[in-house]
Amino acid sequence: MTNKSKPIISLKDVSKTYGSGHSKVDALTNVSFSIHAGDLILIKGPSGSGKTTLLTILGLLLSPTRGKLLLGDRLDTSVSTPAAASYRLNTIGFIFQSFNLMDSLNAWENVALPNIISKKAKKKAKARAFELLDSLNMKKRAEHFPNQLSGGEKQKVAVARALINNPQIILADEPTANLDSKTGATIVTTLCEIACRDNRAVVIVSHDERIEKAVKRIISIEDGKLIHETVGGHDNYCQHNHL
Amino acid sequence: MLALAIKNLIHDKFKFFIGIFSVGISIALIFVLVAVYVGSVQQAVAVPNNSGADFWITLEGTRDMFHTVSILPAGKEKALENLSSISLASAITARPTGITVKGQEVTVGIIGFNSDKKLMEPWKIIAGTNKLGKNDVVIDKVISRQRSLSLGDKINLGGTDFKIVGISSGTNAIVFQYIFVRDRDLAEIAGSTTNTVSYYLIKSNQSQATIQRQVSTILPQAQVRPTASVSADNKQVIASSFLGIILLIVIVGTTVGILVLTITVYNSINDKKRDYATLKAIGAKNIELIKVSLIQSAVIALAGYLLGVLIYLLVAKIAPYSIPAVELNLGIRWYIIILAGSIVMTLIAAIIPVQNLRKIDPVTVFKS
Ligand SMILES: Nc1ncnc2c1ncn2[C@@H]1O[C@H](COP(=O)(O)OP(=O)(O)O)[C@@H](O)[C@H]1O
Ligand SMILES: [Mg+2]
Repeated sequence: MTNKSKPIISLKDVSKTYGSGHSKVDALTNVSFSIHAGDLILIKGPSGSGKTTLLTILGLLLSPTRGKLLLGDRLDTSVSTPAAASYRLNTIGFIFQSFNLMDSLNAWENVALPNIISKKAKKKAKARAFELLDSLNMKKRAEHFPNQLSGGEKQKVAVARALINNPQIILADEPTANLDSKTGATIVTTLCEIACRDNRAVVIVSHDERIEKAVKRIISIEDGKLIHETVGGHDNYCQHNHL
Repeated sequence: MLALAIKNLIHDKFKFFIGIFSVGISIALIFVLVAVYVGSVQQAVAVPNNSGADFWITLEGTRDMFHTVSILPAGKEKALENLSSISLASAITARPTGITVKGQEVTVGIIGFNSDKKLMEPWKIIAGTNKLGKNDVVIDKVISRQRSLSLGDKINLGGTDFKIVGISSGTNAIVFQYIFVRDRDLAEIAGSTTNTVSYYLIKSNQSQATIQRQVSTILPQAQVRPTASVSADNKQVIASSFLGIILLIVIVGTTVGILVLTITVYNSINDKKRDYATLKAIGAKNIELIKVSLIQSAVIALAGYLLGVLIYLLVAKIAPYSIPAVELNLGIRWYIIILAGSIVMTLIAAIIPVQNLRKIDPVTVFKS
């Protein structure tokens, strides 16, 4: 797949090694690829192949041991600086396998959190949170706390949270692993919509094969190496689901 | 962020309330001890400060009114008043002594004063009068409360019965309480007719050096001291015997307070480690999270402070009945100082939780 626009993120020969000596693990070796607006990418591979490592490097949470990571025009890949935090806050939306909602905040408060962290007015943040929850058919659950929600509902809250700061890119790590297949499918459809309708880049890490038919690009990694990239069944999927 | 800090803090209500309660107890301890100290100092200086004298003539080497005895020859008032620098002189006998109350020995500080001269008479009468007739006595209210003595009751002083005609306030010197009798009556008590007095209290508008020079011609072994200097030495007695131990307990109380605060905030953050890792991952800066531990520490410290004040006020209310000899006294100044201390405690207690927060690695949120 070719894309003329400037990439949001480019990886060039990125490698990551954990530990040293006998406990040394080469989690990623010379990985290169680019992500553009509107991209919908599945990164698949067996457990331990380096998917999460790759995603955390993309998310500016982990520094590569070698290689270049280009974020728009930025080449600064240090991860524990305030600048990195700002970048994550405003440019990236994270979705996690285990949701990671705050138990002491209700659904809309969880959604509004990135807005609050970026010092937006609470009133506006609340309105925007309700809007997003509404678009995910979750308005009725807005005042519920995480322990009152099902897995699928929690993940929808997490999706809304990932979207509230209008990020350019959504990074989702095994977003369907803790959900039943029907709920998982809803989440996949939602991510699909986010990429198509809003022209955001969505990167999903998963070994859930049913996601392949929904994405545009499928990147396979094994033992930390990118082995091939194929085209997913996105166009068909959109037609089928009237997206 | 503020809401999250507080909601996470009260998430475990038991730990939250135990934290506040422990900090409250520590702060109450500090309040009570400081109040005892301030109250004691105030009592120790009350008698000289209310004596009405400008200067005291004492035996050379005499310092405070507690454990350095002053003995001067009696009958020198006239001669002193004849000096150009002295307008009024009054002989005072003041010494600890045993009296018999309802068949029991009680140690008091007895003051024999000249009621015509108005120096060192009881200055705050809460019942009865300070106008004494023959063999009348004014007693401190603590003795009256402790020994259930009221106006008209008798106490025995060196074999002679004295009738209580007044109850005095502010004359509790902690180690003993004062009683007041006429100097003539004191002189007549068997064994007291020694032709000596303790001090001469004088009124004068001259300098200490001038008075000293003139007094030396009459009482060569005496020294002239301003009343403030006697007060300062009285205060010094309390300071040297109590200040060290009180400081030590205040330090212990503060340390316990800081530790409890630290543990409470540390626990609260540890219990919610994943929340904070998530916050970091989605873009909260470290400084933002440091605010969380500061807010949590401040909430507990402030609630603990209020509880501490409440406990102190309760103790101050019941103390006069359960421990009448102890005087608790705290000006508004001390409330502010202890509040400032609590704020410092808050900051110190946040140090370790802040380190803990900084160390949290956001990558951990990707582990299920
Ligand atoms: N913090 C770490 N320290 C050491 N080794 C790690 C660490 N994180 C991951 N690994 C190792 O790196 C490899 C890739 O891990 P990961 O990226 O989590 O794979 P995946 O997400 O595909 O299961 C695995 O062998 C894993 O054991
Ligand atoms: Mg993984």
